[in-house]
Amino acid sequence: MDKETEKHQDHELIRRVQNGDMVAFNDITDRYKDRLMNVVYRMLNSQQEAEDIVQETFLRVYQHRQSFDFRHCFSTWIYTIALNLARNELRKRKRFKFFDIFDMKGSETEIAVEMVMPTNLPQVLDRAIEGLPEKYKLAFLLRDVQELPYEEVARVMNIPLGTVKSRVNRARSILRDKLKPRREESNALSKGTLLPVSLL
Amino acid sequence: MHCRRVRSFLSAYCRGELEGKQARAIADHMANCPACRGEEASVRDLFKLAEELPSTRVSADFNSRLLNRIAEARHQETRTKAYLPKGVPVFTVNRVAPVLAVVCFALAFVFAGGLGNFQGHDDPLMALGEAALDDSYLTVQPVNEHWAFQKQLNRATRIQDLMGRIMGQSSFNSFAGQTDWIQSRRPMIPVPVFIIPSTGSQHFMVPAQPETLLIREVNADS
Repeated sequence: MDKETEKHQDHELIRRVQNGDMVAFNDITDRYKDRLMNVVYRMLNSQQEAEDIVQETFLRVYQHRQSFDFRHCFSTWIYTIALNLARNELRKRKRFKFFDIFDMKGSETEIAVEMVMPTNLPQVLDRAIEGLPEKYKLAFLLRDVQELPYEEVARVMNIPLGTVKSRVNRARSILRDKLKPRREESNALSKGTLLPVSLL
Repeated sequence: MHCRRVRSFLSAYCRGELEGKQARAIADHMANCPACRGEEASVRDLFKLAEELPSTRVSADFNSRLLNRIAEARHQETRTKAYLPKGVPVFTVNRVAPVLAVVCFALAFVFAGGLGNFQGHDDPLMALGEAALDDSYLTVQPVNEHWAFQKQLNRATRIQDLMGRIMGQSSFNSFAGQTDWIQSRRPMIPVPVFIIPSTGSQHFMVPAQPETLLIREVNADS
């Protein structure tokens, strides 16, 4: 489905929601819940918190349904709400720092981390995304995972178009660099080459 | 075009985000540069992997939980509106709570005697225990004159009750012949004073440590 058709359908649904149609609201929820979950989860790294944020997002959409501006895309609006809520959550976390066992230094922890390192490449990419700085992570997720147009990413993130492009580019190049060794290992294994013991 | 410049446009090129002259220049470069072709392959791999990223889904009861929350919000909205005449703006708890908090704080501050009450010792009762009592301390404050006084009075009464429990009802009775209130020069700091009828000596109590009370005799001169 192309972007224009999707935008048109979203507007139709939100118009029905404004008239009190809960079936249309349910359709909107089904349309966006997993997309939002994928971005918010990767920002917060917690299934429960991400789900709470997504719930809160839909609740806000419902409460402010009458104030939706039809000149804009519905997707821009809903992503903006979700990401603002997620950012607030991250800010709260910074104020109350929780200590994770993996944050602690020591050889045992390092071994434990190494043991849970994923072997399949999409999972490796997922880990690499997790390690990106927030501004690059968000730009990459919205552009390359959610496939939003640059203009929409700029509106959601509230930054200029040029900045979005450079952030996306930077994120891609960081990820490519992180994936390179894993990809080489994987290629070597598939070709049956002998690997140094340190890589095993 | 140099390799370095080509690589800076590579991801945009692979995504088909470049147009016209720029796209053609990169394509021409690719045809003759095996190193950049290698880079291009790794960029395309990244995009392919991004499509295969593990998806995170919401739980199965997501919609029903959401609809319950919305029903709750709607119920609250209609309840509030139902009791108000048309055209009156609706204030939700979220909007009114901060305003109410500020008003209550301001009222409490004014009734507590303004800044004067917050200067000097942190604990007025402690301060009184440390101070030498003289006649000027012994002024009687009428009960119920003031909200803040009433608060202190309640506190003093609690201390009195506690005292009764500590010392046993019988010995408490011997203290209870007459109760007077000391008011320090600082406003609103009454403490209970017990006058023992047999000796006529006056005693007052101050909390020394948490859960500890000191009983001191008021100066014979006062």
